[in-house]
Amino acid sequence: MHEVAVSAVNRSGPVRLDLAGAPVRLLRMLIERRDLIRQFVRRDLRHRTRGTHFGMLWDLLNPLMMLCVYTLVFSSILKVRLSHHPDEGPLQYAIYLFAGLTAFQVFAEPLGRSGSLITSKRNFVKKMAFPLEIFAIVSALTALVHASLGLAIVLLAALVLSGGVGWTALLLPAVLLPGVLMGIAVGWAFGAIGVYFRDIQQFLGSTVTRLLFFLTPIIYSIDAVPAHLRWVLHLNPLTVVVDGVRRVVLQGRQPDWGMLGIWIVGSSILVVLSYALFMRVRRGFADVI
Amino acid sequence: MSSDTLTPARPEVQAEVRAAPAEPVDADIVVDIRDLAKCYRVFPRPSDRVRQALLGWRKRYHREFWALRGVNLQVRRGEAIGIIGRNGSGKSTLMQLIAGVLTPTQGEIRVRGRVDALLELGSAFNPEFTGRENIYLYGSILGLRRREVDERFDDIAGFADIGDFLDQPVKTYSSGMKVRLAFSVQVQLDPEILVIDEALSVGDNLFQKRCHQRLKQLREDDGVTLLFVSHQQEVIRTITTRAVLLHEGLVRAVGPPGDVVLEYRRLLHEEEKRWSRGQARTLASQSSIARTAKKATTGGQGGRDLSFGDEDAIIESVEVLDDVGDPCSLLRSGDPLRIRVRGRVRRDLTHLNVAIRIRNKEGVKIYSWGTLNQDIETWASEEPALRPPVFWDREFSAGEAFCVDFCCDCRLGAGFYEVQAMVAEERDRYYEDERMLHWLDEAAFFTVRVVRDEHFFGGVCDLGMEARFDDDV
Repeated sequence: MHEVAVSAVNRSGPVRLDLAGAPVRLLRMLIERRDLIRQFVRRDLRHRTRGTHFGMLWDLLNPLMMLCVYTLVFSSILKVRLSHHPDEGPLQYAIYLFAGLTAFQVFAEPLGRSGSLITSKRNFVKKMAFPLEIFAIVSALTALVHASLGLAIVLLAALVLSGGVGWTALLLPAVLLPGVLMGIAVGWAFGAIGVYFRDIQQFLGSTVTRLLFFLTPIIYSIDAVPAHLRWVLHLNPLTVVVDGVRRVVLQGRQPDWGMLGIWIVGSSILVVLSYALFMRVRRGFADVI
Repeated sequence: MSSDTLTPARPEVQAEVRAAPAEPVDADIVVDIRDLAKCYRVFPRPSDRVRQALLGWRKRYHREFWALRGVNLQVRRGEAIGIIGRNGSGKSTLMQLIAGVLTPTQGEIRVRGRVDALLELGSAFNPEFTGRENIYLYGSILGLRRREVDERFDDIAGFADIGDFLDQPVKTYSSGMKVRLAFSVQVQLDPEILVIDEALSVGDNLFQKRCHQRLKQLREDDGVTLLFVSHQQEVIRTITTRAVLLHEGLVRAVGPPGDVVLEYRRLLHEEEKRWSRGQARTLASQSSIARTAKKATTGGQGGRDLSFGDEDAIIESVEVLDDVGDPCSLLRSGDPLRIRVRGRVRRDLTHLNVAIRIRNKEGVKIYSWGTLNQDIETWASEEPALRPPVFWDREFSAGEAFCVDFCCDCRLGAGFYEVQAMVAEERDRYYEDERMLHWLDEAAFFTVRVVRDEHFFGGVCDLGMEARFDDDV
C-alpha cells in the first residue's frame, strides 16, 4: 500500500527562444484561437460600458463629445488655425487634432494596458490552462474598434465640411496597420515583463504615453518640424500612422509609402520577437502571480 | 581491467530494459506522471527577485520550497482518483500541474485527452455579465463553438437550476449559485479528464448529491476520468476508485480509498499527537508515545495495519452476537443485534469512551454510537436523581478489562456490514477534545438478509414507515 517516492534528477533544461518557428506558430495560433479572440474582443468592448443605460452607444458618444470640446476650445476660444488660408473653416483644426488623437489611441490604449495585461488576469493564469497570448491581440483589436468609431466620425465630419472624401480613405487600414501591430507587440513584451517586474505598470500608462504623445505630430503638423529633426519623429512608428491617417482622410493625399513600408516590416518583426519572448517566459507566470 | 568491471553490469541493464514493456505501455493510461517535482523559489525580499534575475549566475538569492517531490502516478481511463492530504501537502499544486497551469520543475507529466479543470469553480466568469453570457464565454474557453453550446444550453440551465438568475449578472449570485452554474457548464460540455479541486463543497447537499451522481454517470457511461481533491473522507470513500495520500509533497500512500482514508486518519492522529506532546509533557504520556512509535515501525497484522492510537487502552475483541449470545455473522433484518467490545486498560484512566461504527460495503457510515453518546443523553435528561450511572465516571486502573455491549434491533437492509470499534480518552464531555487510544477498522463483519415475505421495505434501513391515506390524512 505504501509507495515510497524517489526523487528524480532530470531537471528540465532551459527552453530556447525559438525565433525561426515563431511566425508559423503565431499564425497557427491566430487561426486556432480566432473564435476565442472574437469572444474576448466582444467581451472587452462591452465590459467598459456595462451597466450603463446607453451601453455601447457611449463608445460613439464619447469621441463625438470630445470633438465638440476641441472645437469649442481650439476653434472658438483659442482660435487656432492650421494655415493662414483665409477660407479655412473654424472646424478644420479641431478635426485635424481629433483625427490625430484617434489614430494615436490605436497604439496608446494597448500600451497603457500592456503592463498589467497579464497580472490583471490572475484567474486565467492560475486557475485554468488558458491561451494567455490572446490577450495582447484582444487588447489591440479592442483599441482598433474604439478608434474605428472615432475615425467614422472624422470621415463623416470631413464629408460634411469639405463636401467629399478622396479615394485615399480606402488606404486607412494600411495606414493603421503599424499602430495595431505595435499595440500587439507591446502587449506581449510589457505584459510578460510586467509579471516579473510590476514597476513598469507605473510609468507605461502615464509618463511613457505622455512622452510619446508629444513625440508624435498630433497637436502640431510634421511639416512644422525642421527638416533636420524629422528623422527623430520617424523613429516613432506612430508618426507615420498619425500623419498617414490625416493624409488619406483629410487631405486626400497618399501616405508616405517609404516610411509606412519600413514600419510595417519593422513592427511585424517586433510582433514576432515579442511573441517568442512571451511564449518563452509564460511558463513561469503561474509561479509568480 | 576496466572493461572487465563494466561487462557484468550490462546484461543486468538489458534485463531491466526487456522487463520494462511488460508493465505499462498502455493506451488506457490517460495521465502519466513520472518523478514529478515542483519547486518554488522563495525570496526573502521582493527585490531579491530582481537581483536573482540579474545576478543569478553568481549567487543564489532565494530558498527553494519543494511543493511536490518524486510523484509517480498512472491514471487509467475511467478511473476516479481521490487526492487527500492536509493543507499544504501539495494537492492543489498537483492539480495545477495536471491541468497544465504550472510547469514541472523535474520529471514529466503526460496527459492524453482534454483536461477540464475546476480549480476554482467560476473563476472564468465575468461578474458583470449574465449567467447566460458567461455560459457561452465559458464554452469558448473550453474550445467549443457557439452552436455546440446552443445544443447543450437547456441541459446546462436545467442542471444548474438557478431559475431567473440566469439572466442576471453573475455578481448578484451567491457563491453556491456560481458553483452550480460553473459545474453544470463543465460537466455538460463533454469533458474527457475532469480535475476538481474541492470546489463542490460550496453547493448545498442536494446539489452535491446530484454532482456526485453526475460524476459517477460520466465515469461509468462516458469513460470520463476524474481527479478529485476533497477533505470529505466520505466523498473520497464513496465516489473514487483509488486514492492518493499526499504528505509534505510526497506520496505517502496509494490504493483502495478505504485504506488510504484510514492511513490519512492515522496521519492526522500522529500529527495531533506530535502537536499535543508540546502541551502535555508528562513522563507517562511520553513513554506511551515512544511505545506506539516503536510499534508503528514494526507494522501490524500481515503488513496491513488496520489500527492506530496511543494504546493506553486496547480493544481485544469485537464480536457480533445473536439473541442468545452466540457469535453469528448472518442476521435477518429485524433480529436483535448485539455487538460486544472487549478490551483492556493499560494505565489508570477515567473518562473513557467506547464506541462503534457500522459501515456498509460502499464505505458509507450508517450509524455510530458510543458510551459517551449515551452519557451525553443521560446528562441531558431532566431529573438528575433518576439519572443512571454514566460510563464517563468509571475509573479504570492499569490492567483492568472492560466489556461493552451495543444492543439494538437490526433494522438494516440487505447487505454486508463492517464494524469499526474505538476506545478513546475524552477530555471534554462533548467530543471537543479526544485522544484516540485505539481505533480498529474492520473489527467485525456481518451480513443482513431480507426475507421476502417478512420484509417489505427498500433501502439501507427500515424506518418502520407507515403510509396514511384517505381518512387518516
